[in-house]
Amino acid sequence: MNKTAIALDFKSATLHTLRAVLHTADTVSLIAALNQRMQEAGSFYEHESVVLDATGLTESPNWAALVAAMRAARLHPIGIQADPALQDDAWHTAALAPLELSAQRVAASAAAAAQAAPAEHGKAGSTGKSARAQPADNPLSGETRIVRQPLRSGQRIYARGCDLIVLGMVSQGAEVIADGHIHVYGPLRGKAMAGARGNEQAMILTTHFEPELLAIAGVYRVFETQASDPLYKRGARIELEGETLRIRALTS
Amino acid sequence: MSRIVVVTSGKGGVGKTTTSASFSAGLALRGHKTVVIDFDVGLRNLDLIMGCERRVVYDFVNVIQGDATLNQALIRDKQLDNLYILPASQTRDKDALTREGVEKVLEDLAAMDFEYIVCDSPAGIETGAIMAAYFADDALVVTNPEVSSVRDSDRILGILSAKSRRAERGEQPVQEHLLLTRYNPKRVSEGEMLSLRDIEDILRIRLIGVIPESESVLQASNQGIPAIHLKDSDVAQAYADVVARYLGEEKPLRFVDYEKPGLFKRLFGSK
Repeated sequence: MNKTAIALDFKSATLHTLRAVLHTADTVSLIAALNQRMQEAGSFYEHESVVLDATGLTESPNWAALVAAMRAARLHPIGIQADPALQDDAWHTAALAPLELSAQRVAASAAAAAQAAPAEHGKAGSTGKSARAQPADNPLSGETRIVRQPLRSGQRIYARGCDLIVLGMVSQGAEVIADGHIHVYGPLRGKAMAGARGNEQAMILTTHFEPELLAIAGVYRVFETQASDPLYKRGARIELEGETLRIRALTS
Repeated sequence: MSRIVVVTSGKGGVGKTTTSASFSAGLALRGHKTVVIDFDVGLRNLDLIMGCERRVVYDFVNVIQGDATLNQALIRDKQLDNLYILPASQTRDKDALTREGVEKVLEDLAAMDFEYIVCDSPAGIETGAIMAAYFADDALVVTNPEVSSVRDSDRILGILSAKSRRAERGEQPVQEHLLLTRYNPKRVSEGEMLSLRDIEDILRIRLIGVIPESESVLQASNQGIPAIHLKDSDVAQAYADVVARYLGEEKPLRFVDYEKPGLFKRLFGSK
């Protein structure tokens, strides 16, 4: 058997990735907006793979400059979806694969209405819309991540593409992040950020409510004086209603 | 098979070296062959607290780099035959402590039939502290009843659970014990200091003991003997209780309650 023939195999894979939707062909504005978004998000989107969605454009920006700016911001552009008329050698030079995203077709189908992320609301920490390459009525395809030890100051857990359950406490100074829901069965004293990629249906639930900061789909709130809150150290569930975080008792 | 115990805290100045000295002396007093190692390269203190600073010829880094054997570097304690000290280097920098080097020294000590190897960690969460904790089986997390010490202890607990060899190998995690030091029950009752219940609630690890704030600690370090040898002092008794609990005995907590002195004592008595 020829050894080199079995040294490498091509198989299939599904990628969940970030999608940068381009609304203008003006390269300068694009780069300025990119840098602003990345700065707002802190290190959150660093090292993420990104596909460029240029389907709304009728003319090309400076692809090389745009891709270079993204790499400088520590993003990894891997491909581009655009009108075939915009097909350009620059794509090949910039190592962008021409793509067709399945998310586009899924979003167009019936059950997508609840999942469409409104582009108008200014949310802290979102860079464009995230690609929903999964079935529209279930934005999370991963298995729930379960953490069985307490999370201590300085530790951070990110449950990517799924829900997170912590069986134990989340100390002040610790961070729990999930694309889906967050459950903390223990004191929640640190930061909890659910719906990290824009899922506004995500909830945060805890048996002992004492957080530093909570966020759902980028809408956040800091908790300074808590002892007066009726739910302090009690069971609570937090959901996003419009632009506010609503905190209710866990059991009524 | 020797047991490696790290004495760590995150925060500096809370009583790690004081504890390492008395804890290892306490184990030796109970008949166990014990060695205590100073991991604070460049700022060594253990030799002073143990009273052997004038007998340091070779140190931990010398052994790792092959300039001396372990036998040449180990210093036998004056008071206790089965207690040995491995001092830190005062002149080298922390990079001299390599993981392989430290591992070899610990293996060689185990081969010399030491039952307990106590590692006195430096403050902080950088390489020195991580190296001291990496090989540990048990951890004494020394904490003062004060907010920044509690937070730093929480931080170091997170590091222990993630960066120890046991964690990396997926073995039974490092056994964590909370040791409260410089506890002042009067100030706790007045609401100035965190109580031990508060700290247990925040950190959620088992309490192995409470060492009261005491002038004896300074006296002991000035004399160059571990505080546990000042037999009548509260600190010595508290450390003896800690050693007993570590070895599996049940001991009620002492020196944690404040009794308001009666009227006469307040009028005519001392502090």
